[in-house]
Amino acid sequence: MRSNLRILALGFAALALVGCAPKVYTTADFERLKPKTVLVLPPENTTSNTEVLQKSYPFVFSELAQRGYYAIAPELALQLFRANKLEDPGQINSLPTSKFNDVFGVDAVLRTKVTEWSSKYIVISSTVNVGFDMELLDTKTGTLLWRHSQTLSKSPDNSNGNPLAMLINAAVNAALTKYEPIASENARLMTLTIPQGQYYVKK
Amino acid sequence: MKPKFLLVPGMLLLGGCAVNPWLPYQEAVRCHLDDKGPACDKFYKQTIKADPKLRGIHASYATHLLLQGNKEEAAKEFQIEQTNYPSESTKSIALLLNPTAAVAAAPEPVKPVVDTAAKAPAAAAPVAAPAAKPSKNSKNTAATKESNRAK
Repeated sequence: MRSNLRILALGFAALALVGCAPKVYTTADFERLKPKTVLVLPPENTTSNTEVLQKSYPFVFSELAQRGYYAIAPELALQLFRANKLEDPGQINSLPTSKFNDVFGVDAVLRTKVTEWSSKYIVISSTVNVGFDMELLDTKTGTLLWRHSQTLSKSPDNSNGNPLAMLINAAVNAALTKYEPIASENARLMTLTIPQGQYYVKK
Repeated sequence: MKPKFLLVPGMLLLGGCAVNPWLPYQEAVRCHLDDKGPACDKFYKQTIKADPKLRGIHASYATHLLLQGNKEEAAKEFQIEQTNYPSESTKSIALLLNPTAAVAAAPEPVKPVVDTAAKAPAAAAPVAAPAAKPSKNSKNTAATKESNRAK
């Protein structure tokens, strides 16, 4: 009886853990081409916020690399783009994928568009939204290997029962909005759905 | 209890305190993008100390040093990256160190490109339900909106 209960508890724990892990999406093309090296292109900003590149690029790069891929160093990539008079992420994103194979020798490119980077303040609550649209493409054939769009919204807890305090909290939170933790979390959750690369290390 | 039995919990404790090398690496990249120059060196060094073979770190630090005019140190760092990851890093590093070759291999003048291979699966992908509204009572409520995912 006692051992049955133990097995049941273990089963529930395993189910709970599986339920928390984001589902990995893969395609026959991904399994066939299995990229090893990836160039994470500078994120293209489609929002009105001007600091999006500096704030989102480090997270997108490191989260992808942590999935077990060799990602070309962003500093090096940006320098090579500058050497070729390519400064605008939109312009870089529109290049044919084969060019990245020719120049960098990478198996795949990760294109990112920042679709949302905003905070909404409605009287007693504030919400921060960060949205990305990412796609991983094979550089030799241009085949789409993986794609994911997601907006993560977070609201700080303002509820302490006192309406005046809630109002002040919401206003302060809206003024001191920090996008980086939400951008990092969104990039992490999204890249968790990419199959693990050959350098993946279980944490 | 024999002392060797203390080794396992001890190692677990130490493991729990280990720095994730990707965190200072993120800081280093962000600092570099903000053009903070030598102030970023400490983040690169912290990363290398946490994991001397972290993928890309020596290429990152080398480029950062190169842009500050520290060619000697940059060459050493590039060499380490090429030793650690020869097949992955050599081409891009060679191009950076040889700008003439980089220009020769430069992309053609940019034209608007419609990448049909990329657009086709996206158009066929199902559109998921809109994001749930954050609950008023929950702390750090997260709502996610997903769409256009490759199968």
